[in-house]
Amino acid sequence: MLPGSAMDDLDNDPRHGGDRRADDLDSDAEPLGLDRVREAMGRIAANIERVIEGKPEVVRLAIVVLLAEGHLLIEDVPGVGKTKLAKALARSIDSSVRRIQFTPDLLPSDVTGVSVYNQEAHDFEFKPGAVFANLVVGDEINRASPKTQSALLECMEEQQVTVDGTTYQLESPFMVLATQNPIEMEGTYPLPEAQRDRFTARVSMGYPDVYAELAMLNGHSGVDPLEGLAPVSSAREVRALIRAVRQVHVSEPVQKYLVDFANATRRSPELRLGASPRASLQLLRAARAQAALAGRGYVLPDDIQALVGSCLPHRVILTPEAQIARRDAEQIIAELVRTVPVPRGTVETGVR
Amino acid sequence: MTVGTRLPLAGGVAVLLASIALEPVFVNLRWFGPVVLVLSVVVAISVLARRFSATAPWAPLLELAGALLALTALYVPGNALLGVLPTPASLGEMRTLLEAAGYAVRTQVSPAQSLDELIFLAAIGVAVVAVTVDILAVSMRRPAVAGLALLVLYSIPTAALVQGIPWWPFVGGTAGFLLLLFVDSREHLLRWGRRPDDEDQAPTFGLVAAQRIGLLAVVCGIALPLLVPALPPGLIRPAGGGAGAGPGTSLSPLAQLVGELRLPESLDLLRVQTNVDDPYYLRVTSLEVYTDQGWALASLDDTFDAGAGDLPGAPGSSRTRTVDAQIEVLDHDDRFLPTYYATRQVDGGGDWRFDEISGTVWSEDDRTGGRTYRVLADEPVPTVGGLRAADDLDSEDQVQRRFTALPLVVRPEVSQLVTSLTEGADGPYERTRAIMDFFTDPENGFFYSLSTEPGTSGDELVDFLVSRRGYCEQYAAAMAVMLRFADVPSRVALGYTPGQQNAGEWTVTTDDAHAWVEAYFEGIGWVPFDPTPLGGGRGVQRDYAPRLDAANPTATASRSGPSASNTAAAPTAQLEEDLLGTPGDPTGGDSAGLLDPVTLLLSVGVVLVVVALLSPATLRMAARRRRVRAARGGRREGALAAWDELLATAADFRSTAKQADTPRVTARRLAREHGFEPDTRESIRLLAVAEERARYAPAEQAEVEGDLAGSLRTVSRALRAQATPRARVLAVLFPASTMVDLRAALQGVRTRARGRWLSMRRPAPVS
Repeated sequence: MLPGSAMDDLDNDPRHGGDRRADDLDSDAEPLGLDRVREAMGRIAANIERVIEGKPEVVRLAIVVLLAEGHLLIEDVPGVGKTKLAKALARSIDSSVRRIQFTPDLLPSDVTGVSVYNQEAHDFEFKPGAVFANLVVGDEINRASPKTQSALLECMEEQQVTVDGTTYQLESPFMVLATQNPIEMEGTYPLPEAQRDRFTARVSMGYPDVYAELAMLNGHSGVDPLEGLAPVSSAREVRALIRAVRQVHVSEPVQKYLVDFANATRRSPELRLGASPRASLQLLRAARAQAALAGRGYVLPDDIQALVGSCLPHRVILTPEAQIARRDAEQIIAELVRTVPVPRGTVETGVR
Repeated sequence: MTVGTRLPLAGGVAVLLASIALEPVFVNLRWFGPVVLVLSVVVAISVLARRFSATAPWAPLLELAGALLALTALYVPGNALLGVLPTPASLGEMRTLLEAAGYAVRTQVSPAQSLDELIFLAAIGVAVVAVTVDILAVSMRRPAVAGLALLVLYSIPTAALVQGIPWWPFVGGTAGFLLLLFVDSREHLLRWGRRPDDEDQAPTFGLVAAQRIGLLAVVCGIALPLLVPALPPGLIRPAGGGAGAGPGTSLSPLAQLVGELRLPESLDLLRVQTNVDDPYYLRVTSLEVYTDQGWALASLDDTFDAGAGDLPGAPGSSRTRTVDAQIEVLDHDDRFLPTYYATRQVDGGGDWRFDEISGTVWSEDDRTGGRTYRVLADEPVPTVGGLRAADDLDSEDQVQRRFTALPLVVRPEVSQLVTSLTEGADGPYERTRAIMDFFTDPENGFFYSLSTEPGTSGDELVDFLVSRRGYCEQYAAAMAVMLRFADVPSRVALGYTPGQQNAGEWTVTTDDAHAWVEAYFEGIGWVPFDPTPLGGGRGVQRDYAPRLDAANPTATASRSGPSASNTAAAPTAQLEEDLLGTPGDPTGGDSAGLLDPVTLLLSVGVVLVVVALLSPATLRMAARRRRVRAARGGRREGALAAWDELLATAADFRSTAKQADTPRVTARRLAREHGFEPDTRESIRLLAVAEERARYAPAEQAEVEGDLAGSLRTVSRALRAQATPRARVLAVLFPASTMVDLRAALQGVRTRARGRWLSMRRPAPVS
């Protein structure tokens, strides 16, 4: 239970009700307790793991990103279950799900929606596009043209769509799960940095281990396991979870550590482009969700250390020298984890 | 692992540079040769030993043996086998030398004469420091701790020089220490590579660490000489002693005299040109306080500027003659200006003060070295008739009371002797003559010898009167006491005999150092008497005080002379020491020996206490106690303190936590590295959780669960159990964590200086 700032929400919302937040189903309820958050997240994770075997850390990361109000980029070779992960997450939560198969001829309006002329009403009428859902699965996002990709930009960052000068609010929770295939790059449009930066985390599925693959062969050969996957949570619950995660305490030394770390990436001689301030922000949100997932009411530097490997490498750009030296971003970030000092903060003035 | 030869060499150079600190203690550089030789032997053995065997735990023993051989060859080759190998006889001789050195330390003023025994002592000291530094820096790889051993060398001038220490010995020592640290860092780097948490530092070959420690060393080096020498004058100077403060330093003129007389080769001190053909003795000062420790200086008045015109005349009104002398200072360097009695004017620059009662010209800051000055004096020329006519002073008279004070019971032997000598003598002059004649009558068999025999009576005065051999000091001291007992006001004067005349110039050497007696007569003032049988025509005779042995000068000359014997036989020490010692009398003015045992012990004690307080082990213990107490208190501070203590203990056992590790990472790593049992794992987990709660949780969630102090004890015990016995001893004596703390503290200072937000550590660009 986190009184403090949580009480603010309680006090504020009913009094100034009527705005968008009034729509939040649980806004006048108490934020969920940490144990409930933990339980709910564990429930969702267990559900997904029925389909994605042997990858608990990837599943957990996906949930962390969901509760951090972020977006997930799943990047791996074909056939390791990228799409399945996205769909499993979508199905586990009883909410609206849309799937976009990105192709070179996909148009921005297919993503955002379009205004059509309604003859009866003699007026233009907005037909919402694929992003008007709680969970949007964007398959093979690098196959669409940059134009279409950038249509996602506004949606992802601002949770809104603007068509013909009118802005439409997207639903909450809103999460984009995009998959991307790093090989077979002919005829594809790799995501530009600006767009990659909008994804909170990038995960690689990796090949399953022998036992997981055997189990998969046994299980998947008969029926599609996704078919049997029932929702274990709702959009309403997820909203409550998100609110609870927002209350997780972040102490000053942890903030300092995060900033130190972002700075370290900017100063690293091997990186041409370091982490953006947006990266710090998203990292902090993810760290809160990570702490909540562990049932902890406060963020530890350990949470940040656990997340930087997923949240930063896709945002940074290596220098040509580092590339020639066959270094990769994951390596460099992992080395920074070992070198950036963990501050003790102001409490240091205690007994020494 | 091989230690290479650089580190032992660096240690040797560091000791050599630190031994520069001995320079101000001695008057010249004679000590340097032996010290360098012994040091070279130690370093050479250390280097060779590390060539043969990597760890060489036996090397220090070999080094000590080598130092012993070198000292034997230097000082006692006669009794040694082949001139090098120690034999019982040579060792005995060394003991004698050491005893002589002990005596010299007690009696010498600083800067001390370059006596063989003192140099011997210095060489032993430097050898011990060199071996200690070798053990610490090379065998144990704790070069930072070796700095403490180097510091010992500084305690010598700090204890011995009251007038303050010049700055440059500290530069030498600091440079040596830095070199040691630098070489050690470099060796470390070459063998192990850079520590992972050092990666943000540019590749400077350990200079950064050296800089940090060096900075501290420099700060201490500047602060220590400012603080330490400031203590003795204020602490030791007695409160009593008449008007004005006494001299800031408690110089012992008597000890200076003995030192000069004992010098192996005489030095030319002064060149004097006078307007008279028969100048009397050059006077330095007079000792008026007699206690059971011997004669000592009273407090000197520093209010009268000796350079400002005419000085107050001497008491009494006898006929005088004017003595005008031009004095050129050669090897003399003292804070007392040799003048003639009844000085009227002193002219020669410098801030000199005049103490009217003792007739001393002295300075707190200036020294005689290199000066040429002019002295105008009105030397009294008393006549026998005038002296005979002088009456005893009134018993209430200030002078009478002050200069006949005998605070102790005079031994019956002495009192009987004086009574029998002065029986029938009429008036103070007759009594004085009777006592003087006792010393100068050849019948009584007094003769001059720089070495005296030990007596059995238990009283030095009685011993001297029995053995009847001694030198000016004993003669003057004995006669002055006897005069006082005979109710004649008296004191011991110190100075120089006129020296050798050559082409109108008098040359005064160290052999001319002398002591004599001054007696006070009413209406005439202070009149000098010299009871010492000086040979070689050194003494000056006056009509009023004829020597009974003057007719037969060869009788004494044959076996006298200041150069007769300068072997400082150990047994003489007792007598001299007692004659020279400090007055314990609270009314008695300033203490005598600068290096007297009390001062020396006190100074060394202060240094030792400071060193002990600053020693890593003590600091560590204090920190541990503080933290464990805090841990018992629980709460947030307790958790932080417990974690600090855990890290410190781990660091003591060489598992330093990396800065980039979070508490739970550290806990996991420690548990893995040290193979903790499950319950120990549980304890360390509890500590880590408490720590991260205290650090990162909001205040209302920061409550501590579990027994912090108990867990801390469990983990510490487990760490200790894993360690080797050697590591356990090292962890107690030289805990590595104190260095880590120091580093953190320095870093903290730096961070604060840079401002909080700018202080983010940034990796230096690798160019």
